[in-house]
Amino acid sequence: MLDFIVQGFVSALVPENLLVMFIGLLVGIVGGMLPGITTVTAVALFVPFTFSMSPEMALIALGGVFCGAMYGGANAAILINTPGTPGSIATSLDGYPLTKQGRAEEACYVALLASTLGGIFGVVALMLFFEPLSKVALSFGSEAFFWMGLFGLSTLAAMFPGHIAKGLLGGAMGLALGTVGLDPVMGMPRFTFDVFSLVQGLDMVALMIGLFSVSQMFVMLESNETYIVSMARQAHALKRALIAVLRHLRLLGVASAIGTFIGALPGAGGSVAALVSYNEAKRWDKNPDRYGQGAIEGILVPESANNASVGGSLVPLLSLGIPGSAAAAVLAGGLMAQGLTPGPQLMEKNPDIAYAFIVSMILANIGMLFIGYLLVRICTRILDVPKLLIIPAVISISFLGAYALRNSMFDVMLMIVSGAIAYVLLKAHIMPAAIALGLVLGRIIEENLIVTCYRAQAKDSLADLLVFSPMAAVFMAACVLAVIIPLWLTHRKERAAGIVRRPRLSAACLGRYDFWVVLLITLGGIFFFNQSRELTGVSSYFPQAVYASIIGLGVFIMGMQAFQSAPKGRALPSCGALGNIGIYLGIMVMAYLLIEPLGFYTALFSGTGAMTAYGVFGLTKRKCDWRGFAFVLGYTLLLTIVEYGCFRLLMGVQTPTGFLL
Amino acid sequence: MLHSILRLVCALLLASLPLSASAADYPDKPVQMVVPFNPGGGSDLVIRLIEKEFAREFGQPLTFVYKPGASGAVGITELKSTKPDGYTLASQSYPHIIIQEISGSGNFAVDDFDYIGMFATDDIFFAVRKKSRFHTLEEFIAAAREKPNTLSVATTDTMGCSHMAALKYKSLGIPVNLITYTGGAKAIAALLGGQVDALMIVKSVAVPALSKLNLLAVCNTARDALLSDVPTFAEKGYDIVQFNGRLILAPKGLPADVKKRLTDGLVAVYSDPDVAARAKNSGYDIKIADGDAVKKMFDDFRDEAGKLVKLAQSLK
Repeated sequence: MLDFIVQGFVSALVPENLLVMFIGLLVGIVGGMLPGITTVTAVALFVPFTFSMSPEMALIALGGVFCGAMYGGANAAILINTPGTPGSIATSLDGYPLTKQGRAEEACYVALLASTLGGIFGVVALMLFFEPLSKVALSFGSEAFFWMGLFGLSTLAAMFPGHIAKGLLGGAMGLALGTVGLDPVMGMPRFTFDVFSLVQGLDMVALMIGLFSVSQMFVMLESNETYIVSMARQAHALKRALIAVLRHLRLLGVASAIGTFIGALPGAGGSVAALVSYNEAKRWDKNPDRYGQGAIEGILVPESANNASVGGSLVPLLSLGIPGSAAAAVLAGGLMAQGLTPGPQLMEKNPDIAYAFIVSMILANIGMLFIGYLLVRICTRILDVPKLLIIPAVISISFLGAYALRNSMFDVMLMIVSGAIAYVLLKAHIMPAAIALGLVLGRIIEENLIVTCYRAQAKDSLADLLVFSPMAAVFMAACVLAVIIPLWLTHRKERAAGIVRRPRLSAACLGRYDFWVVLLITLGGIFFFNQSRELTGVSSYFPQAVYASIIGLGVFIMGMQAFQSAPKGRALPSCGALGNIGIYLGIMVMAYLLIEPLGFYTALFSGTGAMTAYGVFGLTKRKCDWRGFAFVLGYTLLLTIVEYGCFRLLMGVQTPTGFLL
Repeated sequence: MLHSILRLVCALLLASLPLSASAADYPDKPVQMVVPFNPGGGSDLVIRLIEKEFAREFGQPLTFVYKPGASGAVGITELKSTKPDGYTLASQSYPHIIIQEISGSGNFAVDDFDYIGMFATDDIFFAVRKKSRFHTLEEFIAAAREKPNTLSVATTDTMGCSHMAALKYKSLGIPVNLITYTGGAKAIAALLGGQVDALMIVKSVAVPALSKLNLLAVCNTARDALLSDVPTFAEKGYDIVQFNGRLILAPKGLPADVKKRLTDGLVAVYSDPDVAARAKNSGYDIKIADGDAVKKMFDDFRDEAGKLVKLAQSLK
């Protein structure tokens, strides 16, 4: 094996192979940064270019795209709280608070170093342990997946200290959003209300762009500050990042191991790896409350886990011929078109190619260090740009990102609507991250619940499989503990502080904003619960359970509030700020309506221009002279051209044309 | 800098002007191919394989638009409302498209489209794991009859070709328990992990995992060229014929000469030996049928498909 590894290094270091690796990395990183371009899309878009390459070269290039795309989402998540890929949701939880504290550069470097080390860990694990790893992965049946999904959700209880029930409510809403569309058993429409656009379901990526990016831009509009953070540039950021990573090497190893293992499970990829490892790191930390407030570990852990999952997802591909993730499946397709069969045969018949590929992924991770370093230097400059110029840019990229994934105008509308709703919920302490967690895990939970039910038909009873099988019992115990421990901790803290609750019913809750939001959600839950009673069979279990828990949690939260005397909710933003948010939202809707008559980029240009002009002339009171106009026009034009270059020319996204482009 | 920006803007404006199309010089602009699935799947790959050859044959490139959702039903429904000028085509599979008409998950009927033809097929195999206690189809069926509904058969796509094949299997009175997985990878993993006993799977997904699988039968009238030691269901006395056919279609009302140009050109492209070799590597067989033959396939299958969909609904 050793000689194959050495040989792999030699062939991966051939200049042409290094060149295509760097091109692949660049495409991957840019794709990962752009919302709407996921790892799968980035790899798939690169496959046709590899048809004319030698098999070795093709694999090296695709490996570069795969690694780069997994890392690419981190910077946007840290700097402006907008995760570019589902894999970097967890990164934003601590990344953005760090930016707020003026530690943006350090955070970005930690993400880069952790991604590189995690990526290398995953590939080395792939090289050394792919046989045993694949065996363990295979023993993971549908009941284990089901409980793993619930276990992931259970950490919602600890995610938002002080708002445990609201965290769970947000998660349940995320689960509910995932049930719209075709049911996974029969492929029949449910919750679509005869609207055909709903048959395709609510897309996770479009929803997430709305939940995170758009709502975050609204939050930014609330304050009068000029910049996202007003801080001097941090000195020695790279050195601090290095020290932070070195100090947490053990944690990094554990997170990478979790990431590699989850990557090796067919059907769970980088996003699940990042979320689960983040939650585990938090659970086992001595002081879990630091997480979410800007803990450096909160970046280190998910970023190393999601890049480690790349190596992991190749484990079943190389040992069994089963792709461990959608991106690995695309990679397998590219391999097959080359006349190579991925799977155990590849290791036996073409070990030279297989090892050149594996070794090249290690090199790709090292190469990522250089490209990533330059990228961090450039990206952190965004903090020197006035906030009111960033907002139009992020919103217009959100339009493209929402459209790009499925080429669907419905998704653009979904993005706008979910952004507005997410803002309303955010003000009631129901956080986008909770909803996103429900979205990511919902499909895994429901699919595996259904499969387990069907499998149980061949066995004696459902309970034997779902509750009493060993894997299920372990996970179930973990779930129960995960919910009870944070509750108990809160209780103990309150007792230690001498707080004695004397519940008394009062009408003060009626004056609370979040009371009314929760009431609306509960009413919505009742409506949909009624709808879900029309469903029959296995496909009705999950939606009914989800809507029942929304109703239950909603009633519980309102009940608690009814017994609290003084409202302690945060004050709402001023009327002026709300007005501004309304104007931006209005411009977004206008831009959406203009897409059909004018064409995508023209509508985007007008919308971006209107937002920039309103920001520059209306909010910062710049004088309306020709220089101001030239500035707005130039900035908008530049933005649109850059977007056209990235999405149309680089990623090949086709957009609708109207009267113009 | 300013000049180059201006030039770019002019070029963009020019490129967006509508061009008039006449059948004689079709195609005189790029042809848009709607792939109603995520990039990288089978429907994508079958077209991507001929990307270069298409441009050589027609003198215009293909541009790809991905409109995934509902097993292709979303993209195909949108195709219905595009102009039938030959500049918008789509790829979709048989039998998915006719099942979507019957089950109502697509907002269309198969007659809403003109079919350029079927160009590739993907065989479906009935497989068990290598270490399974069953070595032949007869052994499996005997065990299934002995203890009804205790053996599980996994399928890889809800209301798709492997699901149909498994439903046919069940409708022949073989008492097995059907489990639909969402994707070939998950189903193979479940088979190898021992969570299910057998699997209906398309060839292109099964090929990489062949060394771990034991193929008991193929759902076709003739044996597969590549895997010729696997018997057909017909040889064993069971009438189960099902395959995945890759279709290329256009909205209804395509001018006859454009349709002919497309059919002739695509037949030539798919007959190219390079293309055939690449397709074979990927687990597909080039098998060409023209639009009328495709329509006949639909008509022959329609009644049976209706019964199978009813059977599936009764199982849930």
